[in-house]
Amino acid sequence: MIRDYWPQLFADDDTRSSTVAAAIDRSMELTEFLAAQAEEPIEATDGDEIVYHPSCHMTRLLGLVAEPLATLERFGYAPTAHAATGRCCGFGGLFAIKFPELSVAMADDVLDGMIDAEATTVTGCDLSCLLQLSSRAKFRALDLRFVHIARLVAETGAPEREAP
Amino acid sequence: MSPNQSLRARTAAGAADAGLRSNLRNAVAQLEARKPEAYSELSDVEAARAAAQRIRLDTLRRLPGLLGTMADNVLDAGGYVHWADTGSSAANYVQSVLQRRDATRIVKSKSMLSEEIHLNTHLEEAGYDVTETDLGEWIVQLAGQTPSHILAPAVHLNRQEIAEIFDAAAPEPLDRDISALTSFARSRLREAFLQADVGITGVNFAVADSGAVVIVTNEGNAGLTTALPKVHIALMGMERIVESWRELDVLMAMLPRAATGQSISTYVDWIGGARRDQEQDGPEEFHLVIIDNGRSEILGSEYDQVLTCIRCGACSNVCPVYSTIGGHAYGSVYTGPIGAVLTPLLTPDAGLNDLAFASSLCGACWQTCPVGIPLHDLLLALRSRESEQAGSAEKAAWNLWSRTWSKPSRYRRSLSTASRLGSAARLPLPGPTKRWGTGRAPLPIAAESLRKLWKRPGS
Amino acid sequence: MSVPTSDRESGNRQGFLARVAERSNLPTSEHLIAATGDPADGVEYAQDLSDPVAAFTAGAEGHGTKVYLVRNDADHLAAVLDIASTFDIEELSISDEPASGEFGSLLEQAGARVRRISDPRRLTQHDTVVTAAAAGIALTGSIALASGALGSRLLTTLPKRHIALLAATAIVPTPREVYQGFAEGRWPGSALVIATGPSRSGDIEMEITLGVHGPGEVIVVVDARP
Repeated sequence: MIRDYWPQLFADDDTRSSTVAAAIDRSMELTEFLAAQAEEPIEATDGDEIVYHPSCHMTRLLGLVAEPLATLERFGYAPTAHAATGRCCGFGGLFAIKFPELSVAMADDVLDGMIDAEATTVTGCDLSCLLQLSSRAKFRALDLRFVHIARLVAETGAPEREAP
Repeated sequence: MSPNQSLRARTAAGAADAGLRSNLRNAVAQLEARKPEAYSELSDVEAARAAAQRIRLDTLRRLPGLLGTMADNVLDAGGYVHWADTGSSAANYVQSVLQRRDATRIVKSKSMLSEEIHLNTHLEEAGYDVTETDLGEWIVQLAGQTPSHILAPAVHLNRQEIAEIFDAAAPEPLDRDISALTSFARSRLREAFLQADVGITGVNFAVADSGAVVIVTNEGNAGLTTALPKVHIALMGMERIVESWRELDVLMAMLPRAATGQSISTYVDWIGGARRDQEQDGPEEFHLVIIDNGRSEILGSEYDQVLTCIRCGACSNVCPVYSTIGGHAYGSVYTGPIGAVLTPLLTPDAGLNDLAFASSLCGACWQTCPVGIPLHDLLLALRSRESEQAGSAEKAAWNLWSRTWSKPSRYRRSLSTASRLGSAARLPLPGPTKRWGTGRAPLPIAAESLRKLWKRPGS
Repeated sequence: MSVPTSDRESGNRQGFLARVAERSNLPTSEHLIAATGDPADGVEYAQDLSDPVAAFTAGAEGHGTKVYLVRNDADHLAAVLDIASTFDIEELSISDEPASGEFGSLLEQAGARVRRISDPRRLTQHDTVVTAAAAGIALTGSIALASGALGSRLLTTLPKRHIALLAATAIVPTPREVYQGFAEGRWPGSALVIATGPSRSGDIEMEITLGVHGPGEVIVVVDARP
């Protein structure tokens, strides 16, 4: 949103152009930041079958495909691929409310792929996707845990770092 | 489904149709399966895609010259050219040719453009016998339906349904296996070819410098449509043109790979006009009908990149909306993401301008488009255009939201309110809540926002 | 073609092109993919096409074509005999090209009944036709069939089985060379078809069936005799 659409939204606003440019410059996606830190990877733990849900905006517009996977790997996770990897979760903003049946069917395609892959945990970088999928999963009484990648990273008990 | 149903109802009907979704999923999976291999045959796919995009955009900028050259070359070779500003001009011209030639039977090779201009209806109402020869198109024609996918018109039907459709035209019921159905189709369509007076086709690409049209099929019906009858009429969208064989080659490298994961379509027919002296066969007359029908309105607008489309169908294949609702839900000749953009532009009064909202803007279409059309951005632009026509109630709602969230203090207050009410389980907005709840558990609203948590000492 | 040009053009060219010209110069949104060079220079293929006959054979077989490679007269005879015994040829039609005549006579000696038929209705009942191909394409294993000289638009599309005779020297690397050749008048004719394997349709339940319109069986005899 920030990187791709703020320039368009503020195109006619001369007074703010430098503020906007500066804001864009110092904004990054969490995994973009984490993946750039040269830290030793943590050994993989025998854990739940985890799947990563790539969000459309992040992969197609921001082009951040490797960063979340590198982050997961660094923190000891080995996500499983599933048949519907890459398909839109169906949230799309107001779309989810304007076309609820269609939105839910799209969520089902993704969830069915995850279930077929025997996933127990679903992670991702985009909270909207996770809300959409988890709400549908809850409605369907599916046994899946949804956790944002930030929380997953926080849970791994990485060594405490000195505050700057 | 009835085109008069609301768009939401049409999408809901598609989403609820498990059989349709399964057919579609299977169809698009097959169309997509061989793509990686086909693209790996190109040393640099991105370079090829960039070249294809450049060629198509360049064509739009040079259209008058290219069309003039094409027309001159067709005329020099003894062919006929008709400039059709509108669909009805084209349909009337076709009818005038049929009249002059005392024609009664027509065979057609697939042409989306002919459907856009409602040619079949026009001709059938005037008493002509029109037979579609692409197997999928013939099936939907017999069934009195419209095609549901650019490449696989009958994808929504299974063999049982197709057999029932054929039974109505057969002397006795057919075996329900695909080879029996295909044999029946072959013999029936062969008869239609042999008896036809006129063959009508679309055009994949016109080659201006050669005055030729290029038509691709996997079945071979374009060859028969253009060679057996005495007259060949080619219907061409004015933007479907290249300057020479050089540009043709680049686009032909992308088209079959994007469409079906093939290196090349089974038949590529390059037609330079009617038969020449000494030739054994071929039509006596060749007609090129150049059709505008709203395209010049789109040219030069913020949407004009949509005119670079080469009709490969790849966007439909990757679209999660298309594979959930199917083609008929679009209510238009053009379906899938390209259809959602083209339809409101070509037919702004058809009541289909809300198609642009039935998308999550996932961008898969843009990512796969062999000529790089930013369909997701065009959909957003169309929404913006539509919103300008929105009712006062909706506009008032947006204004209120915008005013509330423009000030940091009001924004934070609205979040605290949501937390307090949300923790009592329901958001105070009946409409959206109910729609969210259609198949989803209520949204959990946290008791404290992240901002509050962050500021708490010791966190 | 005695009808004068002006009688063969209708509609309003001036108005049409003026309208288009007015619009085609307006600035528009263009999301361009980064590119260098002349886009019409063609695409590069990853395949090794240094042995055109081998590449052609692989491509053709990959598309369901049966290929016979003939390096000498013995190979030629063997191909004829194999075709005669493998395929159930009842009525064979041959094109007017000399190569077809030669091949047809050999098949006749091997037992096939040969006719020269040009009536499409009769032709459609023949199961097999022999014609010469103007060119072959190494990349895809395709054959190019031109309508001019002794060619025909219909011979190659109507019968159920097509036997195409292709000189090894007529194999070009990619479709580009065929488009260029035909545009530049290398092969006479009003029409050219590039055919790759048997006619196919996936319109019923996405299951591929062969031969719904064009031939369901395609055999190419690649003649590499010196």
